[in-house]
Amino acid sequence: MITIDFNTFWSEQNLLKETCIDFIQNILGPSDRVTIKKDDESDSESSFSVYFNYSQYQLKGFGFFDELMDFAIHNELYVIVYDHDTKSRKGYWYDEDDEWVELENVEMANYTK
Amino acid sequence: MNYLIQLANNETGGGSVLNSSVRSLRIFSSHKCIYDVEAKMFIHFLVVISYSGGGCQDECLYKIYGSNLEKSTIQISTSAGDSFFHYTFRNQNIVQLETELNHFDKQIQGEFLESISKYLLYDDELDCFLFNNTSINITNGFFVTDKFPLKTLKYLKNVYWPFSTHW
Repeated sequence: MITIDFNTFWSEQNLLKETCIDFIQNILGPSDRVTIKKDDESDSESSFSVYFNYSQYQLKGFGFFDELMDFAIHNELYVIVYDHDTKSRKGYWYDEDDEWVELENVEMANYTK
Repeated sequence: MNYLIQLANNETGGGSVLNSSVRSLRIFSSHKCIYDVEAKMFIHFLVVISYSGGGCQDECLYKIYGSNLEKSTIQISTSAGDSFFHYTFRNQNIVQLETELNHFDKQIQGEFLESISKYLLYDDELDCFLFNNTSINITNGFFVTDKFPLKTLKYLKNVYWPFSTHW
């Protein structure tokens, strides 16, 4: 199972949030779960992330990095793809080097809560 | 818009190549990416101007549907003012000829023509574009903006690439 995490959306970016959900589900199919997670739950104007859980994909062989990268660059977002089985992740930071950075042995339990 | 410029012989820019030849501009490329809300996909447009051999310079406008080059449909027009795409490729095979540019394509084409004029000057006598911008920092003859899609530019030479410059 993987989680795709797009962040950070500003509080007023509801249209972008909807566009993100539309875009991802259009290319990957319906997500098992879409989570909109505020960075500060106590703040009504908090920035937020959008997570997509997909049980049918793994990081290995995942063929949609180009699409995710385009969305991240175009909208100045960060994107992380996390594999729950291998505990590895790949991240793309729109404002850093133009490459996916892979990290292994990462625990991201909050993606399934 | 993203840019890539390479001058021949490691020129430093600053207008020094204006008195030079058709080979002075090794490559000029600009890139723009838009999100098509209805199709829910990104569309990439690239202009490439470069030496094509035989004392000639060529230019192409590429329109790439989607983010994954292996799956994308790619349309190509071969002149700045073209009103139609000459070729449509998919998986490196021609699938259609002569498709008209739509209203939006023409709008993008206009933006490219305007942006090209900020960097290049058309020399009537030489019948080619020459680099002409003193405000950007050309280092060892090379300039590229952060998110210029080099991978896409490299891919295009497998599809339709009349230029002698290779990546």
